[in-house]
Amino acid sequence: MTDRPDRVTRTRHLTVGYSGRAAATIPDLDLIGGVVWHVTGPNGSGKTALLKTLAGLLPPIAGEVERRCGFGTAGAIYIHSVPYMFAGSVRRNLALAQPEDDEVRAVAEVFGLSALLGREATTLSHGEQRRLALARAVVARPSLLFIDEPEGGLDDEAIQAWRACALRAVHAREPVLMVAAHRPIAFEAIPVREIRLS
Amino acid sequence: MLAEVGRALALIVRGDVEVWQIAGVSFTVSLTAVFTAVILGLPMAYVLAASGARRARVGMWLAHSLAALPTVVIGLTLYMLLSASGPLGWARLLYTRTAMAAAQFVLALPLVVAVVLGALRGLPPSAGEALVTHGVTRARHMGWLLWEVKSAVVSGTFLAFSRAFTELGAALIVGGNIRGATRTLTTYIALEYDRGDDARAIALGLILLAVALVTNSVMHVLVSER
Amino acid sequence: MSHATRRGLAAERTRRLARLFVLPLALALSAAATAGQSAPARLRLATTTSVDNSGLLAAILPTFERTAHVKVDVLAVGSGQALGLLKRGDAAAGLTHDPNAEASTLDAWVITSYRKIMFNDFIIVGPKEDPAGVAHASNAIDAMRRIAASGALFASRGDASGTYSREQQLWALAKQQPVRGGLLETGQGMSATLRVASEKLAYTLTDRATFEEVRSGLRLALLYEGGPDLLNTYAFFLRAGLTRTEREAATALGEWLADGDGRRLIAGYLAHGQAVFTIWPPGTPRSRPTDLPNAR
Repeated sequence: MTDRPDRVTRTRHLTVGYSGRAAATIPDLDLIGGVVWHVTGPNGSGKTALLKTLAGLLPPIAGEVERRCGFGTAGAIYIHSVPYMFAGSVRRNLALAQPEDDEVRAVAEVFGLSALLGREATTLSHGEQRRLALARAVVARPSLLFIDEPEGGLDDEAIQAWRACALRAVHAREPVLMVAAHRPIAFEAIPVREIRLS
Repeated sequence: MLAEVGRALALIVRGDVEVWQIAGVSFTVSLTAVFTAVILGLPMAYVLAASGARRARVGMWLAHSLAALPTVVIGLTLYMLLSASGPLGWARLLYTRTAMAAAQFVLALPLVVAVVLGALRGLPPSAGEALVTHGVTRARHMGWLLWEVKSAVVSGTFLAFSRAFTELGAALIVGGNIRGATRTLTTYIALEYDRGDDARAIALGLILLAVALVTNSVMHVLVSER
Repeated sequence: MSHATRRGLAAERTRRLARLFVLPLALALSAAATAGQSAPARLRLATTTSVDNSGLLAAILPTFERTAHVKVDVLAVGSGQALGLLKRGDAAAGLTHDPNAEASTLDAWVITSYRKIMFNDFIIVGPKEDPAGVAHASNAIDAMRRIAASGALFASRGDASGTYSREQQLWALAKQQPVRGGLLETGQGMSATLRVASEKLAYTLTDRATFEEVRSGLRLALLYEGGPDLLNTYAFFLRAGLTRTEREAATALGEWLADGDGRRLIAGYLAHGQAVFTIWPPGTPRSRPTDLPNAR
């Protein structure tokens, strides 16, 4: 399998976990774009640890991660299962990775946030906060995008809205997309590859 | 008593030179001390918070302990350092406003650090991680996190100012209550109340009280507004 | 006004006060009765920082407290503040060294049983280098004039103390004042002011007792002493209108200091090997603030 060289990410003999304690041993991965990588498994099986390790927020317990990009713009971005909303407006949150103003306006349009740009981010609904978290990541044009439990706590309508946004993100920016979810997810027009942790 | 208060108010309103000169010394010294404490305290709190849970805990303990130091002990320690026979005696700083500002800085710094560090430790880890993963580094990272705890920054600053402004022991020991130079609101009231000049002492007491009330009210308004 | 009339008026005033204070007095007496016989009477003595800093009271009062069964609480403030404490009824007896202020307080019927107890002298101290040449002054007033003329710093108590009162008199007699900025008014006690003088290389006027007590830690030299202008006299007195128990305790202390065992202890008290107070010479008038010892 080959992919754009700037975002090649491989793992070899990787073990992930927190503060030296192993949570999961990972089969060797060669992450490519054009698919949605779905990490699944029961609670505590190491889904979050794997995503954070691949995103560079957590050091591997053993083995290695080969990644050719850094954080943020054109790099790897990890979105928490409960994304942190910074004080101030939606616009301020979208500017986290210092994008241009017109990019902020464009991404707000795509993610249905245009009318909310002036709102306090912490006053948004759960679903709106997830859309904002996705938008502020996508506006940075990441090469690798890791999303942790994006559908937890959302109703069907919000899930559909989120998936539509994710699809648009993948089409527009073409990041390598990895989603952790303990329930199955499905996208029209994009194949899903499952990584099952136990 | 009422007549004295009346004369005190007259002194304040008519702009008695000595009253306002003393108040000016108090403000200059305390604002210098608190400004320096905030400039140094915010990065210190940030570095401690970012240096891992254990160091942050030790930093918190240290800041709390230092914030609880009796002011006279701080004054005495500085006195021994700054006295002509002390290790820093060559600087000739004893009985100057600089020495008083240094003492109040020592009072203010741990308060600022304790309050801000406590708030930073209260943030969920996802706040710092969200900044890292979006490529926010160093100085901007600190700016974003401190903005998240801005009400703590405000209350820490105002608490430090209150403590510095109303403090007596250290100001007296390293300042010396020298008229026109190191005489402050508190040292004047403590030492001069019985010189047949009660109106002036009351005037200064009223200013002290007003400043304490106003700073606390402003702090409450700023902190309760989100 | 003659002494006889003054005493008569004082007695009248005391009677009026006594009537005013009948109720509180009764309460106080009943409280004292229930408190039991073994508790010692308490006596509040307002005195000056110079007496307290010299260490004299700490050395001699325990003997009095033991023999007279009276506990003395010492409030050490400036002479003016000490007189103010008596005026407001916050202290029962005083031991101060400000003849002018004492005279006006006597005239106001606030204090009574006035007696000079002891004396020593003020001295002028300053940096060893003596830039103003105070050591060569012909008298105390000349010394002050030299300090003012040289532009050297002078640390001043600037409070309501007997020492400050004397300093003001000396400046007035010298018809000169230090240059603007040359006067460091501390508003603090004698040891604190000596410390400021030492740190700032300034001159100051001090009583000999306090200087002897604290000089080892200071960089100050004794530069001028002697002469009538620098005599420093200490007087003991009671507040007018004391309760009976208070008056008994205060009178006992006065007797003890003026004519009793206290004289011997004061005369024998040494600060760092030096006698710092001289007892009032026997037979010398001592009931008026202006009285001076014949010695010297």
